[in-house]
Amino acid sequence: MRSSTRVPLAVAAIAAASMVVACSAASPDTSTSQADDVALRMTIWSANPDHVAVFEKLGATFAEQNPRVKSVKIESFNLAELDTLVTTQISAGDAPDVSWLPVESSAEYIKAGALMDLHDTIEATDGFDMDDFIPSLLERWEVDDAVYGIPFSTGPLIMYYNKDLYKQAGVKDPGQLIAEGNWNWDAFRQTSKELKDSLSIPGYALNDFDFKNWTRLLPYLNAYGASPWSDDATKCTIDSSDAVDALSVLHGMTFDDGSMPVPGQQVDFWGGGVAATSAFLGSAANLGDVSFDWGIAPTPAGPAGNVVATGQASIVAFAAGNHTKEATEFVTFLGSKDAMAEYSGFFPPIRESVLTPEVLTQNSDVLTPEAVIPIIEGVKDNGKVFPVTESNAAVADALNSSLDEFFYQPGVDIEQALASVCKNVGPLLP
Amino acid sequence: MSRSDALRSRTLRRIPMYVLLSVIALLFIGPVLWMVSGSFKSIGEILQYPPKIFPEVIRWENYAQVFSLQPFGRQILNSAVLMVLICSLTLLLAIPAGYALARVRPVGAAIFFLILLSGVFIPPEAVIIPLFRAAADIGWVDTFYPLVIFTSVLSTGPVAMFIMRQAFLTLPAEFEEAATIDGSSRTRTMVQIFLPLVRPSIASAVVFTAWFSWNQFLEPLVYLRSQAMLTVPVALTLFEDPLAGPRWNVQMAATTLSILPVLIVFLLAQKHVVSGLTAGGLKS
Amino acid sequence: MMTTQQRAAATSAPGILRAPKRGSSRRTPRSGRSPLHSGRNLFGFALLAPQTLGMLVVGIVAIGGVVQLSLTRVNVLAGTREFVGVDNYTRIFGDPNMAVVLSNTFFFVVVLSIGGTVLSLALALLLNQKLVGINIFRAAIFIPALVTTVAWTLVWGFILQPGGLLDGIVGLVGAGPVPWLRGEWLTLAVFAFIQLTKNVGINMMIFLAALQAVPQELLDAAHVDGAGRWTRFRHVVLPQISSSIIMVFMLMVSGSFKVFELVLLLTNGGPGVQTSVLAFEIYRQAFRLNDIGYASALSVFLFVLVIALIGLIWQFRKRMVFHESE
Repeated sequence: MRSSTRVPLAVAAIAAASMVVACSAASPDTSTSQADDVALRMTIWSANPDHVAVFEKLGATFAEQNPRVKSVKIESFNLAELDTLVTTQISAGDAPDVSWLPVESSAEYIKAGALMDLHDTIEATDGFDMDDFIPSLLERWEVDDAVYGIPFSTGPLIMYYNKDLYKQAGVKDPGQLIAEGNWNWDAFRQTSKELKDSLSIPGYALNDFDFKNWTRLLPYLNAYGASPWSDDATKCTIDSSDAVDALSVLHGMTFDDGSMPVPGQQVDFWGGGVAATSAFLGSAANLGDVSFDWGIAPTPAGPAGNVVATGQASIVAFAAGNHTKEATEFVTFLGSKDAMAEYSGFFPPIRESVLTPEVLTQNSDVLTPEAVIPIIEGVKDNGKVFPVTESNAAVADALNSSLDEFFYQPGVDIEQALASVCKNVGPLLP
Repeated sequence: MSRSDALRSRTLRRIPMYVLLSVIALLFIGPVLWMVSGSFKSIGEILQYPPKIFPEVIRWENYAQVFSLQPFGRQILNSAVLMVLICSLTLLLAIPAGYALARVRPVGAAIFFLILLSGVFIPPEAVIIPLFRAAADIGWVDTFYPLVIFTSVLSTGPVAMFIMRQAFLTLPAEFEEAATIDGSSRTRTMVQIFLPLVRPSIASAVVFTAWFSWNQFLEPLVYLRSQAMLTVPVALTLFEDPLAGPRWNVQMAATTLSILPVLIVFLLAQKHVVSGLTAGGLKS
Repeated sequence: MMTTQQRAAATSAPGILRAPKRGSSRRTPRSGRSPLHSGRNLFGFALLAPQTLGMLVVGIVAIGGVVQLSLTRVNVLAGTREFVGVDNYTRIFGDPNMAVVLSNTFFFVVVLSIGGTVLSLALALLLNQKLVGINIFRAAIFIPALVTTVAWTLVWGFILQPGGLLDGIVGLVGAGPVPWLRGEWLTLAVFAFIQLTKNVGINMMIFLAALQAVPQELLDAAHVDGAGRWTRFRHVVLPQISSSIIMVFMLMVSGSFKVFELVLLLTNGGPGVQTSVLAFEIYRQAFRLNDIGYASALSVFLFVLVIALIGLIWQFRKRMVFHESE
């Protein structure tokens, strides 16, 4: 009898103690919008302590400078959950004040009026120097005079290659092709096939692609002057002849040459499983762990030149936030020269004055200023940020799944396949 | 035959059984073992094909990174605390309800049963938005309250209630008769006579509830904000570098660590289940 | 004269259990408790109050919220919300993808519920032996339930890749690489397998508990009567654990709707919607396509489907019981 009461008591005691733990960690209520007591909330998709620290420090500096703002809290989440979190939080009237936002979502959020216009605040800030921003890279966030976000990370897709594997196969590596002025998709396709025949491992793989992420196809598309949709994003153009040419290279390399992995196959460049990969500049951090001799280069050129496909993410202020004025000020602050210099060691910046080899490589153990010079030039001169549409989530979804269904299959007629893709995607464009 | 001979031949005859069990067990635990081995490798080694079972170098630093990248110790504690809280509330709600439906049988018991059970069938993705909105209005964001209450009421409570109801139903009525004749109050009857008899079912309910709360992902993701408040499943997704991609090896190390607490609960509950109550009546 | 234990055992035998059980509990209260009749109700309500109250409050917020959302078109980002009546519901029936999604969903429901119940029962029977080290095997089967879905899926994704471990094993008998994750019934079967191996452990534990609660006397008595293993199982064990079977079955039915995490992490419902299920569509519509209104309508649809299914099973259970009381 006694033992049967002792157990419930123990449980209750533990429960009570746990309640204390739970309550003590609960954050204080921050929804009061008293003019001099604002606590801002910024959401980022990195839990890397260095990244969090940099933004926390900037937040603290801003709170000191701004009489109305008491504090800035940085919260980390996984990028895959972005939509879930934004949706639930805005629905509940509890939106973050400031957030990172990928460029893929820019048009959608801007059209919906979900982002605050930073223009006036920027104008009112002395020494902001808007001209320092590389204009071609700001396009996605500007509508006429309005500025809806400050790009904090503008990373090009570049080519990484494994020099040892090329040497082992006796095949010319990208560095050598560049030296002889022959750095284009045809030549690269050839050498990749030679390498695969010689070593029986893939010659090239798209990093972070997995046949689910169409933006990784942009190096092909850009090189041939193609794009999934027209510039005004109203018409599907992935069935254009340029696109057909561009994507035929990919299809051929995967299903005919066998020099690229097939759907579902996982290969890892960093582990030495494939000779070359295209990935963001930021992935260079992985080079520290590798056990082979590596090189980097811009992605191959094509008939349309060597346009550099560039991903981007910006800092924005949500219109649904509870402290939009202070949020706008904070975002502007984060776009200033000094602030940008602080985090540009981690993320490629958009300010020309900061986009230097030294800054870009200051936190890198592996990249040397010399190595990144061609990359930087490529971005400045030929950088093209990913194309986006207003209903980007739906369009990207349809694009990915119809490519999967019609195009990423062996032995298909490419023109027909891409026409089918357009049939699915076209109706979703405005 | 001597006793040891008998023992040996019996064990020998059991060998095919052991083989069968091993094959089956391997099917289940194989992936887990691979994951544990991955927790000691570098990322490149994990993704290597053909796969290597043993890492070249045992990288204990992966485990150190688990704690340096996040307050993981605190996060495990959060998951554990949440598990205890949810189990407690669930039992508190479900045992009386199950008892009432099985033995007390007030009028309209069937209706109560159906209504209370229906919570289990509500898809969580669907209701997270209205529930979160309510929680935000009350100011419960970044606390454990919504997690404990909503989960216990909607998801684990009904199941536990079902288990308890079944358990109480299968007990003979004689006990109740005897107790009434003795003059115990209804509450005494329930707590002191019936409750101890259904310990194995309570253990079952606890195992299920603990497992359910441990594995929850969507709810902690939405209701919790600060890193120090997160639970293990959500925290695991944060072992990612925004530019370089997921740190698989550290994630695997974290997952390996996170299995341990629930495993302990399971082992403890198992003892209850196995030892049984009425002597001689049960196999062990 | 039966001993109390024998009588207890006898009355716990199942088919015989249900019908007379109801009678007996009505008998006893009437004879010993009629003066306490209303007290009984009060006591019962008091016991039920906490859970009922909680359920009503939370349930109303949850379901009410969802139903309300399902009748609107919401653009979360723009902050607009307009009432559109049953438009979202008619859209469900007009959606060409629904056929595939629903058939996939039912595939999982059927396979996971029946397969899961049978498999976990079989495993529980197998592991209900007194064998040295049996706990190790039990733990081995249970541990996958403790691993998070993300980790479990990562591991399986690796095993299933073309030229991966599974292809290697199949290759040993000379078969070529198999398109495990490229859609059609094969991928559905693969998903079912992954889900089963992950969760069967929990149900096995529940069955183990139930099996161990089967009174040894009944089994011994049947054995003495000359009943073989299978007969003993069918006529003694099975009825005794029938309640657990129903419970596990219902758990698996409602759980099978949760297969969506696998879909999310391995194929995103693709190619096309070939591997999508209803729960995944809800998630996709709500959080990827920002169409909460439609997602809510789909949720109500799902909820109704599940309730209908469970209701059917519950009714069937009552009939099953009558047949057993021979």
